Amino acid sequence: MSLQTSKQSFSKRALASLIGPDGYDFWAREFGTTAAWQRCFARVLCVERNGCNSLSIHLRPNKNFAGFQAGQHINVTAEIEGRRLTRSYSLSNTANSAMNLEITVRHDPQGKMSGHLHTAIKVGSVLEISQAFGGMSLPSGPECENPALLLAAGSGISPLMGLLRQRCETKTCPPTTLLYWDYDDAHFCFKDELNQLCANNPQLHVHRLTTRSAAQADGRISEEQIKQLHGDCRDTMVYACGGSDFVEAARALLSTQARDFTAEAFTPPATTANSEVQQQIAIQLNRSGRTITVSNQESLLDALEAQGIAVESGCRMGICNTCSCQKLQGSTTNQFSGEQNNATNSSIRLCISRANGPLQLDL
Amino acid sequence: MSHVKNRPLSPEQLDAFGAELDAIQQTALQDVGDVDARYIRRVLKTVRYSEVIGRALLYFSFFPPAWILGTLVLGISKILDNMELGHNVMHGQYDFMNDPALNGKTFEWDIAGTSDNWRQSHNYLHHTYTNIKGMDADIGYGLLRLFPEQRWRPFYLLQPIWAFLLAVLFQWGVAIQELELGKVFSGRKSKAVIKKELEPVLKKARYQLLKDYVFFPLLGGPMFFAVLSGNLTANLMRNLWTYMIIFCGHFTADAEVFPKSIMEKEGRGHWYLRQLRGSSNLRGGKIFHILSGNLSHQIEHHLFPTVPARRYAELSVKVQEVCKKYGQNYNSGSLPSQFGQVLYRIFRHALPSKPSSAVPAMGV
Repeated sequence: MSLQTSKQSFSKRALASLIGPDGYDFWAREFGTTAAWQRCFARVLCVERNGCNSLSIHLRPNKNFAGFQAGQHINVTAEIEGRRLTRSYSLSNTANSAMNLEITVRHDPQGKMSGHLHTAIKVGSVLEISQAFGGMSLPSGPECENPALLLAAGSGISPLMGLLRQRCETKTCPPTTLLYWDYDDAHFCFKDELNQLCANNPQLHVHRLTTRSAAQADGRISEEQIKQLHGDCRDTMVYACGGSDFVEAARALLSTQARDFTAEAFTPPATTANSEVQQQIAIQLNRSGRTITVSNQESLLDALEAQGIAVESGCRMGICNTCSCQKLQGSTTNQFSGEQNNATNSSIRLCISRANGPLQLDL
Repeated sequence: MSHVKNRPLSPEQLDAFGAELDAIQQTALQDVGDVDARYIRRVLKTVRYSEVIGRALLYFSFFPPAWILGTLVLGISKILDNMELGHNVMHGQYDFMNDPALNGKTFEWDIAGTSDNWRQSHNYLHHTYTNIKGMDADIGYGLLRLFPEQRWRPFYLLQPIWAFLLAVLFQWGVAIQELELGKVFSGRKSKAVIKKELEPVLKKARYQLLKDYVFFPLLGGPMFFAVLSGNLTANLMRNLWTYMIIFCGHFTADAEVFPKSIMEKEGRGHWYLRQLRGSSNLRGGKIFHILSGNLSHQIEHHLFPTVPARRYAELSVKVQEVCKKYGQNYNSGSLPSQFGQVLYRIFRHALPSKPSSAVPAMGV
């Protein structure tokens, strides 16, 4: 049994040596607590409907959660129809709120996870979460006084809300502009709170911009718009979050002139490769930190081995499960059944899977 | 013998046979979902609760019926953990759930052998090279001669005794199977290699022994020996049960063994045929199937090892239709009848015997 011994209390270790880490987790759940040997579980403290087709869910993580910085995200895992799905959500609160995590989830009619969170999650529900990750956080020290320009598109508001709240927590909010794009007026979140923050902080400016409003669309991100609403960006730290098109547009406009440019795009939709066409695809191996390029025409096992990467394997025909590994992100096709697997964090057998697009594997 | 029960198939027929079985598997896999997830959760729950109840009852062993009941419940818990939970989860049947507690690659069970070794010897070797002499170590577990195709040696004269010992100590036999100690004694395996391989095996064995024969008995205080003997008996129950189920799966009268040469140019249809002819089923009720981890449907398990085992019963109807269509024997019988055939093999092939030469090994 590989029991992690560091940082675990004696009683916890003694118990786990009798019943095993999985047994420990099992009984903790049976007794209704979120405690676990290593994994992070979080209980839903409250669910707020924001009136912008989205929910804010407040979570209390168990003691295994190591904390976070404003602007980071967590992976949230829930079981839907017997399968555990994992999606990333940004934390929209600040680290000062200690053991309280806030995620904001917009309802996507096609999205299984957002649908589940909107309909099935109640106060008291338990979700599994990951440790916080992501590098979009404010600098510490005197640099945090620099002017900041926050660019949010749609759900991209969530992590920026964390940064904004953090800036407002200091006595006087340093010069900050938030430009927030969404389809129309009904989609904007955090309306009351943003109005309140603006009223209390004279150096904070918030502009809501619509892209599809029937009344008046302000259009998409542009140079003139930024000049007009924020001005010169030379001394400004720029943070952008939104879909990949939006982030790329912001990067093209601002990354060279701004003091700092930090951006994060939502996970791009899985590209579905036409299997007839030969393509070279980048595979990121998270554990070894390597990135390799493989063809979409061969099985991942063959492709990895051809690059000199030894993977445990057995029958090479999909029966023995020896080569199964976690696919963290991306889309694969089961060569045997032709079935596509687009789920984040799901187990695939390398010998009968090929890549449809960029992949991240736990190897 | 068995061969006359099977119609020889042309290459085209073999392809069609394989395609029909592929289709059965595909339909089943497409349907896998929350019913299977709920089922395996229920099994896991039953294993955990019955273990606690069984162990708790043993602490009241001053009242003898509590010892008997506690031992029985703990034994059943260990059987379920071994068969319906551990064996099937480690085949990756429930990997679709993405639950780390039920992941085939990381699951660890309450048995002497390490899961890692078992994944290699069972999931890979046994399931890929089923009943191929010299490739599948499950044929007699390196200890028994069950087929006339195996070379006779005087050692086998006493094999009813070896077979009995293997049954009683089955989990330990499986635990050291992967080490291939025979190779060490004959000098075909270096000391350094065996030392490295022994490390995880000894670690797991020590943990299992301490748990059942020191920690839990000590918690019983004055009930120390009652708890210890209850644990010992529960482990014995599981050993005998799993031995019986597993031996009935591949060593009945009609089960065939194959030479290595069979793998040359073996296509999908041919592979299916070998799985079918090397396996045999047991008839019984629902509880019997669950306690056997559905290995009572050994044929379906060998054809579709990654399909959740709870589906084998319904798949067996379709498999039997395909077997009938292609004139292949579907080897199935009651536990007494099939185990009787296993015992016959153990006794008969302790003595020199010759394969029947009338029909080639695989009538293709």
